[in-house]
Amino acid sequence: MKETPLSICEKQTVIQGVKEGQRVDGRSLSEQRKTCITFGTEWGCCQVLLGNTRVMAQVSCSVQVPKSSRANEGMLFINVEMSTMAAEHFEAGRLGQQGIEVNRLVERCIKDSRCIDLESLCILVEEQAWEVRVDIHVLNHEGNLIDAATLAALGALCHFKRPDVTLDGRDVIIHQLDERDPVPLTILHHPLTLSFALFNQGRICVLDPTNLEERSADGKLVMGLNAYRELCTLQISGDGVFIHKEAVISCANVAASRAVQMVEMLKKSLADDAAERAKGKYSGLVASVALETERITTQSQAEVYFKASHHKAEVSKKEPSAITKTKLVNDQGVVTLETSCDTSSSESEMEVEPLPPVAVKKRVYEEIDVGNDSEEEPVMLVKLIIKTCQGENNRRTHIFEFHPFASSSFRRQTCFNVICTGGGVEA
Amino acid sequence: MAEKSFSTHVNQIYLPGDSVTLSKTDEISTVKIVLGPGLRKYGKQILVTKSGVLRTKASPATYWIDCHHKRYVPARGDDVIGVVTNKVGESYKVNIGSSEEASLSSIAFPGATKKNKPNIQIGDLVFAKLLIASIDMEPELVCVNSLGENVGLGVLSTSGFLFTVPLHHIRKLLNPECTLLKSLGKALSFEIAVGMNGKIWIKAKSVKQTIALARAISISEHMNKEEMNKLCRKFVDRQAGF
Repeated sequence: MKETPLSICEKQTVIQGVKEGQRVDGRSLSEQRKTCITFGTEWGCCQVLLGNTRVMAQVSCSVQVPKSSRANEGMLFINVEMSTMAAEHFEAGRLGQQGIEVNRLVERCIKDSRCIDLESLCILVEEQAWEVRVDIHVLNHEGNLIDAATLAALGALCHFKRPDVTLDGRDVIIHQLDERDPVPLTILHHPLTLSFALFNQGRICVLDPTNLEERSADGKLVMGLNAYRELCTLQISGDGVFIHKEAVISCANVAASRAVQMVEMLKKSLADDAAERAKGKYSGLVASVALETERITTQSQAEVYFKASHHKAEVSKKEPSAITKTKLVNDQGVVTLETSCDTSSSESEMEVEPLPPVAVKKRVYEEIDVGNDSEEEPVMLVKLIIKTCQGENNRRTHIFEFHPFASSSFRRQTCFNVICTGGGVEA
Repeated sequence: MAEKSFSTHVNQIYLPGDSVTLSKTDEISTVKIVLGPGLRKYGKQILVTKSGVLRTKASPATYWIDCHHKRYVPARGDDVIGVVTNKVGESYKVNIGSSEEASLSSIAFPGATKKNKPNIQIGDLVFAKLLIASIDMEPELVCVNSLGENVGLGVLSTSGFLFTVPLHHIRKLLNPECTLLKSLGKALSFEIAVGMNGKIWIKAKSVKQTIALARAISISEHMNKEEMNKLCRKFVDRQAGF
């Protein structure tokens, strides 16, 4: 698909606003959007939310033959993937011009600054070395992909742990993850990029531009810096772009102080992640779901809650059951919701009652406790399959299959849109 | 249980593919029923085509599905805001956010003749009405009514601001019961064009005011009446300097 065209008035408003020091989303010119860094349960999985821009990076490693020119070093390979999910004009599988720019800048910032000690990745000189591969997936494009991608890649590399290796003479033993604890990579310094959009012939620099600001700008200035205020990368792009040298110096100062803060934030997130893992109740990327502010509802207030109700008199001729008890049975990852009634002869039914419109403030819901024993790979998405089966005694059981979600998130008052037409729907 | 009669199942949630049939009692009555968006007649059945909540209005008995969508599907008679992307011969290609770009003839403007055409650039915004919107053809826009009169459609000034909002929010804003725009108008004076394709164009006296109004409208998406009144009061206070 083609990108939606930029109208003259949008561009003019952004440019005029920036001249007055006013940005469309209310930030100041050197203010960054809210940054959230979360880690997954696998080592080396990191998701970064920069406002609405969402990027995920995953690090993996494999043993390869080192390059002949650098026989005593491991290898680092960075790959950026942009699919149509991120923006409608991205082609799946093929990096456009913007994708190549992102890929190249992340490589320059992380590889060329030599922040990872590659010599420590060597196993046997000229024969075996670790190749560390960073796959960066752009999940949502709302401006400033470069910063988000670099931060995600850096977070993932800091989080990653490779299998431990011992050398027995010339025999190489690669230990399994349960035999010996995995070893983190040696990170020498933490380089990050900070992008500025240039306006008004290079006189005004705006930190962390949104998509609209990027498209309206004359050009872009990308600076790679680490926590020691050392410059690792510098790039200016855009056709016919000017920039004044005072602007570059002031941008560098803003970027340097911001980089120090970001590296601190990254280190804190890593420490929090380690603490969560030590406690044992680890939820992984699910923690970022709670940060979602967008809610999809057809009604103006709140969510549709799942409510166990008495069945309707018109459906069954038998007398209604008193209180239907619901309990969740976790059986090897398939959670079954069984309803038991007081009288065995009557039916029990699960019906979704939609919230009465708007005015009602009272919230009635049931806390559904999954139990603390799902230790399989937690999956980001919850696949909800509602099956109705007619057992003997004419008892209908509605089975909800959840693909294991980490339990601690469910302990909170989770609400999910359960849409059921009652006839048995596979969603 | 997928087939239900209308009257008993208003305010219930439906998925695409569900059918709602008229029960015997409904067939006997001679009341005219109007089917709105999300419902389609298919033989004797009425099929639901969008997921959402079934709503009704009293007279004429109208039923429709309230859904939460961002992508616009053109419907005849809608007023939309489009961006001019190209000039092809005598007409302009306008992007309204649908699957195909719409065409707008250069003489479909009030007072326009072959010798006297409006001056429209690529990137301009037009507020136009959909004349043709069928699934088989490209949509067609006009900026006049059927008598050739000026009805407030046309090119929008480039000194405003355009932003996007989900479609259900647009319908809420255009609902006569919604007082948000009127309350905001008490604080600041502004010009606004609301397009049914999710686009809103707004122009106030300064860029700062324009942006403030745009943000206030975007934030009010999931608010009910009380919260909107609170927002407007806060807005008025801020504008007054408190």
